[in-house]
Amino acid sequence: METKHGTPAVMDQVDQRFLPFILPVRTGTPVTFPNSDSIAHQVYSFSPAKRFELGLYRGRPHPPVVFDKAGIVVIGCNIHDKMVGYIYVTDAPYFGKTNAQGEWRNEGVAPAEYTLEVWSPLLARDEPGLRRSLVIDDALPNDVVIRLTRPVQQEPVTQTDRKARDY
Amino acid sequence: MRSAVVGARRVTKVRRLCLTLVALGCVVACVTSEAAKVAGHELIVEVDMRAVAVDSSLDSFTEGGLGLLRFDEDHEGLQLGRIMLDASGPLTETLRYAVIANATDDGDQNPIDLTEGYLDYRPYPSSAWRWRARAGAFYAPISLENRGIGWESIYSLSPSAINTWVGEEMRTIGVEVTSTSLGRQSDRSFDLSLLGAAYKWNDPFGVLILQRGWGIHDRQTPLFGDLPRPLIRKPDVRTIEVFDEIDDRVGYYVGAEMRWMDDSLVRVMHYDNLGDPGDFTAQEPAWHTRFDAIGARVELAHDISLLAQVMLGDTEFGPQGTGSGMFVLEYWSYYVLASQRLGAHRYSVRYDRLYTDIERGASIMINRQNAAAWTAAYMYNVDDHWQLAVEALQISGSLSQRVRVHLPAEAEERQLQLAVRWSF
Repeated sequence: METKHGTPAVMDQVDQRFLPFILPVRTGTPVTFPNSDSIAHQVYSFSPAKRFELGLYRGRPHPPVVFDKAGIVVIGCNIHDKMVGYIYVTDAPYFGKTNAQGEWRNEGVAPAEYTLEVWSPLLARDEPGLRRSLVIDDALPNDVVIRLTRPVQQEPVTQTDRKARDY
Repeated sequence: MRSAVVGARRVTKVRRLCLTLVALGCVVACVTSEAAKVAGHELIVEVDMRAVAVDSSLDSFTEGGLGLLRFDEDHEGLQLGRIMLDASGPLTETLRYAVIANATDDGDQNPIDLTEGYLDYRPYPSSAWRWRARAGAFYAPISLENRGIGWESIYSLSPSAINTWVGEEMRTIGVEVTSTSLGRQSDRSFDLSLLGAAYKWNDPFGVLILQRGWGIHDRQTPLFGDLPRPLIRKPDVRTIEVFDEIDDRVGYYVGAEMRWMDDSLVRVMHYDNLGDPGDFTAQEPAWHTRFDAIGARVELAHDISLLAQVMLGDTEFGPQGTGSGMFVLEYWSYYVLASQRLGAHRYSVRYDRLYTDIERGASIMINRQNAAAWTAAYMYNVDDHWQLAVEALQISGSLSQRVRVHLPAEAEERQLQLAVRWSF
């Protein structure tokens, strides 16, 4: 999942939830925040890597927000405190998101010495082994297995009961 | 002196009617304004019709009786649950309004009246502590059940005894400030909120729980409405004007909440209306009511929810010239509720325990309630507009003040309700 410079990535809002929950982008990538719900949302972040506010809206009236600094940006809605999303802004040459099985594959990585970093807000903060050195050899496929010592948390639930609207 | 009091009451009623008309005007303006809809204004109207069967020898408290249910044997068959209007929307980028009106068609002062109306200020968070302030008339965040539109329980038709009482006699008419430390913004697995409020117009708070004890039903007392007095002491004071200011004192509550990512939460609150029960110059003196409330909701696998709330407090009343009240009523209640949601269907069962007793002045007055209740409910969201619900409720136990009106203290009351709700 590599996003080219200049092509906007998308973090949608569906059923009072940011979709995707985690969006990795390269530094400098613009991201649009359409609202596909029938109710209005108010998107903001005060993370050091990007501070912004998108005034109350439905649909897609706002221009993309450019994430120009590497770091983790926590996205929230000012009306619905339960809504949360994460934009992982990185300078890394290769990055992506794991699939449902927890795997991520990347073809054609140039042979070199790399640092591999794994991040998720759903992992325990002191989980060991999430950052390690890695030498990529041209000859063989390189499999790296990271075994978590604790289970991954569930993504936060949103309003599962249509009748509930306590925000 | 007497005519002055009556005059004041008349003025109050005219003012109430005007306020209600203004509020309804706002609602109508929202309905008719297409431009308003675009700007994020929402209007929800719900019509709730009931088929009711009751097995109880007591008159409902809504008729001035000492029954604990909303309906009695004179009010079976087709009944109006309520018509509810809920209008909300932005006034500015960070200021919203909410107006909620109810009609219950049971002879209250106004055919339709407000239950809540407030402004909600939510500035954009600039740190992990976010602020929110509400001003107007609204429910304090005690109930874990009443999470639906118009303060409706999402688990059953009738909320627990604790939240029934909140709907009957309690409203914050004032200002509430909440500060929340957002867990996701500070790498923690839960949000922590602290809140405080200052309010007036809650001085007769306690009359109903003294006279009738805890009840279980979904009728919310409107802001400008009143309730018939189950036990009449003064012939010219036949109703309870629930949201009234008598002693000019400001009450408060403070609370805290921890809420985890999966929506499980724990809440605590201390409430004290700081009423002055010693002022016996007033026609209806103030009541000094205070309580502690604690509640927890746990969300488990398979969409199973467990809820429990406890409330424990007292109310002091009856001026005697010494500055303190002649009587103190102690009360407590708790409930446990288990609920499972299966798609559009929800099944819930709840056990309520109800208790009141006179702590000071028991030689003159005995008002003791010792009862328990079971509620079973099934709710089905047919689609975005229609909901069906069935609820069976049984309350059994004693209420000693029934003896004063020549009824047995012990009673068993049963009520079966089928509700059809339509909203748009």
